[in-house]
Amino acid sequence: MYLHYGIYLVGSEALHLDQLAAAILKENKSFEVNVHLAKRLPLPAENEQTRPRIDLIVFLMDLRSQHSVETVKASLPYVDVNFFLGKVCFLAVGGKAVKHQSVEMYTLKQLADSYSSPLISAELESPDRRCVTARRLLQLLKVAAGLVPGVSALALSSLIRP
Amino acid sequence: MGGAVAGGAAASERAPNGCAADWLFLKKGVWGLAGRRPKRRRCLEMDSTEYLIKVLSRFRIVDFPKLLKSWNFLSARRLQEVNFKETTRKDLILKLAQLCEDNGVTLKQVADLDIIYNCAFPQKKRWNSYQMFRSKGGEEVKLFDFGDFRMTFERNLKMLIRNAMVNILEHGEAVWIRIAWGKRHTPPNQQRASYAVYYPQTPYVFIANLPAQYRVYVSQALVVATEHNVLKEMDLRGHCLDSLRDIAFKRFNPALPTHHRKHLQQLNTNQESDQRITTENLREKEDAKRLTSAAFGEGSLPKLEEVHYRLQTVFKDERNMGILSDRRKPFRCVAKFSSPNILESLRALPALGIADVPISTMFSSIPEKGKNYFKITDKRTVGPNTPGP
Repeated sequence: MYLHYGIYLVGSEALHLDQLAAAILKENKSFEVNVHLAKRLPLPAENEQTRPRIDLIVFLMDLRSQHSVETVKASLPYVDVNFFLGKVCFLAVGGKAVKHQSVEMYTLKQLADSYSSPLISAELESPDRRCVTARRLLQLLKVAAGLVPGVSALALSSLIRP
Repeated sequence: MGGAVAGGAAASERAPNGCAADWLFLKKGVWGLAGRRPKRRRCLEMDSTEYLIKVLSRFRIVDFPKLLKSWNFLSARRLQEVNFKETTRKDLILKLAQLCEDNGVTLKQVADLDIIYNCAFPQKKRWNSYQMFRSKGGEEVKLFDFGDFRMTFERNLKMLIRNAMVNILEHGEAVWIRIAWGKRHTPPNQQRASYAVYYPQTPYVFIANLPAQYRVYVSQALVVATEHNVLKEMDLRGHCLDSLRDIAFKRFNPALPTHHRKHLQQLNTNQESDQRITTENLREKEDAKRLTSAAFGEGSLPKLEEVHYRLQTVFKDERNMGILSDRRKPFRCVAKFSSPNILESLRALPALGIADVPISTMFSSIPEKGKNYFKITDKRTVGPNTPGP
């Protein structure tokens, strides 16, 4: 039975999650990954059966939209506590367009710290930057799924802790 | 060819009337730097060549052949002699001005060229829409005769204001009217001309650049010439004349009626080519898409630049904070949404997750209601007023 690892991207549709998903699948060369896109948690009940294991949850927040931050904050209580030991990651998008920002990076950092998870700054506008972000996420996924010998998700998260 | 070159050289040495050369150098870019327009001391007293140079200065190199051809003042043979690509724009303009002056161009003919330029680029002006009404039980509508209309309009306008220059041209399905206004002792100001576009057999007119003081003259002349009774302003303004016309004539794609909504759903099932990407909220997304298409329609929407809501609503205190909850007088405020194409942006909002579906009828009813300036009050009255949010 083929084992598929699952990465969940949770964020609003304005961020074009499908493009990031395509980039992840393109960059991935070593193992089977399924990408799931969701606007918020909890996930709708109808797809319960076909869901593969959840190895990494990425929450995408847009610095230009307070709404996206609120959605993520509302989704976090639905995540089981065990995930926060290295299987959750926050992505801050839109850091480049300083003029249009309405949320401060500091707020996002505080949120990520309160959940003991890493916050990655990313830009998803150009294909190159998407590639780079996809590679980072894949690396995190590898550790979270236990594919890197000697490093566990918990160990990695303790290294990143501020 | 030699004759034309010699003519061009002569023109640059002897710039007609002295101020023409100044104007060529004072092109838009330099005015922008200075931040001010030059004083209009001599500009009111313009002769045809000066004004011709002004009009030609707005053309781009690619526009020259086409617009000059439809102007039809210079014969085709003469136009062929002018090489549009070789000379610089400045020289070309001077050369053409010289050519036209030799052929005795009048101010009225230059005004015709001005109309032709605006026909080609109507988006440079801001148009207001007006509708004319005639009393019930009026006579049958006669077939539109352009010559009659032109004569009647000009005669009526000249009766009301003596010192004005009127040009009327037919372009496509519309009649374009250009009016340059002059006061008692000053000649008509060509640079601040008003434009009116009238669609025959319809009661709609679109007017740009009309100062408030002259509005009554134009409306009087129009209603008499078109056998109506009154001209009323519609609250529909914008830069794209074709879109305003489509909204007024209700020529855009209407929102889909309810029994077509299910049909749309079946069309969108083939999207996911990659099996490894799953969208969890797919049904929600499709619902949102369906509702927006139902509200806005699928086809291209007319182009409006802004939507203006004037609110006169009483403050509604949701959280019961008590600070303003006992204020009974309505607040007056204006909410303005602007965008290069506002209807398309509103249609895209639910797909981007920025707005909730279904989109408020205040937005989706804009094309149907045919206005983009709304007044919102609390009372439930019949007509354009809608209840406050």
